[in-house]
This record gives sequence, structure tokens and C-alpha cells, in this order.
Amino acid sequence: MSAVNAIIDVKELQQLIELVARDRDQQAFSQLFEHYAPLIRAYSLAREPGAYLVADELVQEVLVKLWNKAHLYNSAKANANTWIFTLARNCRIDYLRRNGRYATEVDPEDLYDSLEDDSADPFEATQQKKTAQKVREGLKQLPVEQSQVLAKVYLEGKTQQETAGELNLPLGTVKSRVRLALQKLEILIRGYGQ
Amino acid sequence: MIQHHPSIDRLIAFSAGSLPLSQSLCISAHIEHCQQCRQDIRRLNHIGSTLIEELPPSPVPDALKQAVMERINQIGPRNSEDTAAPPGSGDVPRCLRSLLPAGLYNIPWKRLSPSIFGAKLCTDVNGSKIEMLKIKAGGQVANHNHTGEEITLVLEGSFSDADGVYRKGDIIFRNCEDKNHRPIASQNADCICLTAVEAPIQFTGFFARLLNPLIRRSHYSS
Repeated sequence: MSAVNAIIDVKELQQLIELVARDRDQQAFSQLFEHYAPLIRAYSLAREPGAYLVADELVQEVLVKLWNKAHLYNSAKANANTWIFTLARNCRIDYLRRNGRYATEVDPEDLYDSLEDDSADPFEATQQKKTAQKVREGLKQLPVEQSQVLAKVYLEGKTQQETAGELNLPLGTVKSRVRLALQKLEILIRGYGQ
Repeated sequence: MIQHHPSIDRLIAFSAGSLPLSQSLCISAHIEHCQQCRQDIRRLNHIGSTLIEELPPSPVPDALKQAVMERINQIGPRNSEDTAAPPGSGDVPRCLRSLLPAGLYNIPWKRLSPSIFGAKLCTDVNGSKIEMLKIKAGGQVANHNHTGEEITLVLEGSFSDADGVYRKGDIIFRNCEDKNHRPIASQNADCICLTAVEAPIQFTGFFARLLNPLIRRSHYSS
């Protein structure tokens, strides 16, 4: 078993990704593996507890993707952790797709591609940095009942309906907990219909 | 200016990756047109990344690291994923480019009525049907109710119903509570939409009701 590294700061992680992109630096890649592989494994196990083979497959896919796409990473657009999350999420959808639990016709990368479009906007980049900071500080302070609902949706891949069923709550309660959490994290900043 | 957006609940599910393909396609095509929702998705993505960072790490077997190092060694200096994917051709949203390789203006339409044309794209694993729909300028879709949810995204032109006017990039959600939904395309241009329909819709007019047995073929007839 690999030792779990001491916490690396997000700036260091960004530099490591840039080294992989520029120099195909295997030493830097190895450090990224040490940091991210155990987290990605935990992400997979959160959805399917006990499914270690699935988790190891996901780790492998995400890390190989990191190697192949490192040159597309732009630290001005997204912090390293958020970029890795999007890789892991897309690989998870791809895994479900290969196993008949998601329609096969569309590559998950194509679904999320247009998010890359606003790269040139420095105002937007600053806003995103602020939000990332706010979310990091704010999540720890959320009441458990709110963070639990977010974890069900993001880590376990549950719909709000499924979350309500598992927690034995009315759907409306789940929705309002999500909204309260988003307000506290300052993500919900405009009115939403439907 | 886009007026009709997905709810925050759907944006979260999209960001988390837990939305069925049929819905994801419509949301993805919407956000390609909508900067505001793109910003929201990017904000929401920080929740996913922060939650993962705070998970108790699960130790990785040494053999797995070796396997990954071997794989990257075989990849060589640069592989085919070299450049970012090109934008979709013409006005096809990127998420549809594999389904509409010939573009938005060369779709093999099937005539469903004098003013309505449809082209099936695919069926989701949950049974939802994903179709392209063209309503000729001024054309009208027959009065119908929904037994499941119908999502419509305007890609070209515009249409209106009793509740409003919908233009390029607008996304509309309709379900069984929306009675007698009767969209009509604007007079000046054909309207092309992407639609995802959860369960067959039902036509409600006397003559149109005769069409109900036919809608297994397509959700839209006149």
C-alpha cells in the first residue's frame, strides 16, 4: 500500500500538473498519483462501497487521463482539485456507460466541453477563485443535515429523489436543504425558476 | 437574451454527473448558449472537488500504481488527445456533434405532418426518447398533454405557447400538470429544437386522438 502523503497545497498540485504537461515529468506525475489516487478511490467507493475493482479501474482511468490531458489544464481557469473532479466525474459517467447504466451515444466529455469557453475572462476567473475559497471554508461549517445531502448527490451520485428516499425525508425538505447550503456557500446568487 | 433556464436542482445534478443522458444533453446544449448557467456550473463544480478533497483517503495498492506508470510509459510523448476538441460544426452544439455529424441543416427529417418534421437521435437507458424537431414557420403542433416530462431546447428560430415565447438557447420543461400544451412556430422562420420526452405524450383533440396509436413512432404528429 502506498503511504498517504502529507497534505499538498493546491498551488503545488497545479505546478505538478504543469510539469507533467511541459516536461512529461514522471516524478511530478508520481506525486500527483500519491495525492489523488486515494481520493479518487474513496470517491468511487462512496458510490459503490466494497467495489474495489471498480474503484481501482476508476483511479487508473482518471490518472491516465490526467497524463494525457495535462497540457489542456489551465490554472487561470480552474484550480487543480476542481479540474481533477471534472475528470473523475466524466470517467465515472464513462464507466456507467460501458456497463449499460448510461446511454452510450454521447461521450461524457462532449457534455461538459462548453464550460471551457469563458477562459479569456479575467473577471470570471477572479470570481471563480473567490467561490472556490468560499466553498472550501463554508462546507465545513454547514450543518450536517445540509452537507449530508450534498455528499449524497456529489459523491454517491444520487438524485434528490433517491436522497429523499434514503434519508426518509420529503423531497421538498431535501430541496430546501440544498438551497440553504447553496446560499451559505454563496453559490445561489440569483433567482431560479422551475 | 436567454429567458428560460434550468432549475438549480438540475444544474446541481448536471454538475454532479447524476442526470440521465436525455436531460444532460438538453442542459449541455443550453449552457453552450448561456454564460450565466456556465458560471453556475463552474461554481457548483467546486462543491464536488471540495467534498472529494475531504474524503478519508482510501489507500491504493502498490500494484495499481505500477500498472498506471506502465500505461503512461507506453503512451509516448503525445497522443491523439493532443488538442482540445474542435467546436461543433455550424450551429450544432458540441454535445450533439456525434449524433448530428452532418450539421443542423442536413438532418434526415421524417415528415410527421405538413408542418412538423422529426428525426430520432437516440433512446436513453431510462426509455426517454431524444429527437430533433422542426416546426415550419407558422406551423403548429397538435394540442397535447404529457404523461411524462418533455424537455425542449430551441436551437434555431422561435416558438410560443400560452405561457410565452421561446428563442434560441431557451430551455422549457413540461409535465403532466401542463394541460393542452400547443406550441406554434414564429411566422418568420422554421423552428428547430432538441427534445427529450420521458413517456409518450397524448393528443387530446377529437381527430388528433386517433393519432395516439401512432405516436410510438414519434412523439410529435399533427
